[in-house]
Amino acid sequence: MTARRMAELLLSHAMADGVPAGPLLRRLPSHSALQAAQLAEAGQLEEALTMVGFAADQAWIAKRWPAAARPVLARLSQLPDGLVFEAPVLQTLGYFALVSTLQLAAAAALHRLVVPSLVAMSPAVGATGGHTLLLVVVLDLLLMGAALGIGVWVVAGRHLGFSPHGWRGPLGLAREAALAEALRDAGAPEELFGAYVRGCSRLQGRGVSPLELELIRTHALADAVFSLQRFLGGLRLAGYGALTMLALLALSTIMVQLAQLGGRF
Amino acid sequence: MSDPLRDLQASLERLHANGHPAGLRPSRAASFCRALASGSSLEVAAAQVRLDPRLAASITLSGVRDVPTVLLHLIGIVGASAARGRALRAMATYPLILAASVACTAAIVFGMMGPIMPLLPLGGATGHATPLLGALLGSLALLVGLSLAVFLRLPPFAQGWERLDGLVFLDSVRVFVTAGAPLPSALRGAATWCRGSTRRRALALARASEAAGGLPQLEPLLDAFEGSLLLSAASAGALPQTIEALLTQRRLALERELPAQAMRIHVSALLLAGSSLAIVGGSFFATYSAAMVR
Repeated sequence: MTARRMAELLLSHAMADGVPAGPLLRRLPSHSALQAAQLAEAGQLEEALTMVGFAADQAWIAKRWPAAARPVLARLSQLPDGLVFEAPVLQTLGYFALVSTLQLAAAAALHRLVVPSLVAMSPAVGATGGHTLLLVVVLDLLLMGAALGIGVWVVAGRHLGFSPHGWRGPLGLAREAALAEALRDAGAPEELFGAYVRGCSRLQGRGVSPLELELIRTHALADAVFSLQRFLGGLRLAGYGALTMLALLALSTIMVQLAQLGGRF
Repeated sequence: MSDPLRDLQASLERLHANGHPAGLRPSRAASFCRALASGSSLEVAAAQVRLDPRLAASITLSGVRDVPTVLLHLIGIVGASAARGRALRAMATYPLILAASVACTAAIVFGMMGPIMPLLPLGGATGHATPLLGALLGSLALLVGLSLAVFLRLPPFAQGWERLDGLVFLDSVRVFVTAGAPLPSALRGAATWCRGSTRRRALALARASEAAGGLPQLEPLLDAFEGSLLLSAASAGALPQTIEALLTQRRLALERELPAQAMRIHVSALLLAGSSLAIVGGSFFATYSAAMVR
């Protein structure tokens, strides 16, 4: 368990039971926890919680309605982590990068080992084959670059807070709805609930009922999964298509060269 | 307009604002609730705003009075079911993608053979291609058939759909029973969400719950144990708890079934696509080597 997760669990349960956060933070084995304890004891609980790894919305709720800290944990544990969405994309990109590396190696080996013999037999035919194999190498490099770029784009979206993926928006909405449900579960006053909903960037509507929150959360999650499937479908179709075309281009080049030299064997 | 209808209007508007497909634009939500307030039947009001007609039909058949609350619960059930159905249908696209890739590869390979053959020493020797081409078309047809079997709920890929139908049925029964409907009416209302033979089985269960008689055949909607448990729970006054327990088990079974079905489809599709590619490759090399080697 990471220090961040341990702090989140300990503090959430303790605060829900009415235990002050400051002394507990002092006992956590990290330098930032000590600084956070000083902040908490100076009345800056929200900043203290953020310092030990609470998300901003979670810290906002924990400061204003500590009883909701435990329901927040329970509700958030039902949501999939962003990594669950990124993993299949990264896995697919890794597969493409591996296959394009192998293709690149095969095309480079053909260029180095076969083309010189072809050039020796017929300079014109051999040179054409050599150029085509170089083109395959370059296209494979471009494909690897594209896979790497998409991978960085997908991971950066999570770490830098921008939203390049279709599933990021619905996941954010599901999170906001889940936290609103946690406030309802903990019996937070209507003014606090209203203030939370007003502060949400995606969740709309004052006075939203628990049933509506559940509908919104489940639909947003389903929407996120569908966005991922769509993205993965397009990515796989494009990737498999490009890899197949490149393999066929390399193969056909050699076959055509051999055919053109057929009479000289 | 009464308070529950005003609340329903606000709920439908909020769902729309949050991107839920069952939500209604403010003007349509107002028109729907005004129609209900003026005494229009639920079916007529729902038709005016193009709500799923099964929503109105199931509520009417169940005979529940708290229409706004039940409507919102049913919207949730239908939405969740639609998402799972979408996941099931998405599984059908995988064999199609593979079929398209294989067809494209085959077209390129066979298209490439045309210009190459005349250049080869024995360029006329292409006799192996025809039977292999037939086998390739057969494999492609099997891939498309696999996709259709998933899409059209044919065996052995019907189980996911059957479990989904059973879940929607039981969940709807739970909503109607919680809203005060007696079990037979709740079963009739929930039967609206079933189709074909499963619908007939749901209605037979409703009849059996009214008249003390033998339990009809319920598979694949419910198994016999679940059916008898429902009827005995109704007579013992423990229906909501029993339905909740059955629902939990059904949800778990569906969560297990979906990945298992995806795995079955992926493995079958990969085997078919692999054999198709082997045919294409084998055909090409057989023809090519026959034309090259004396």
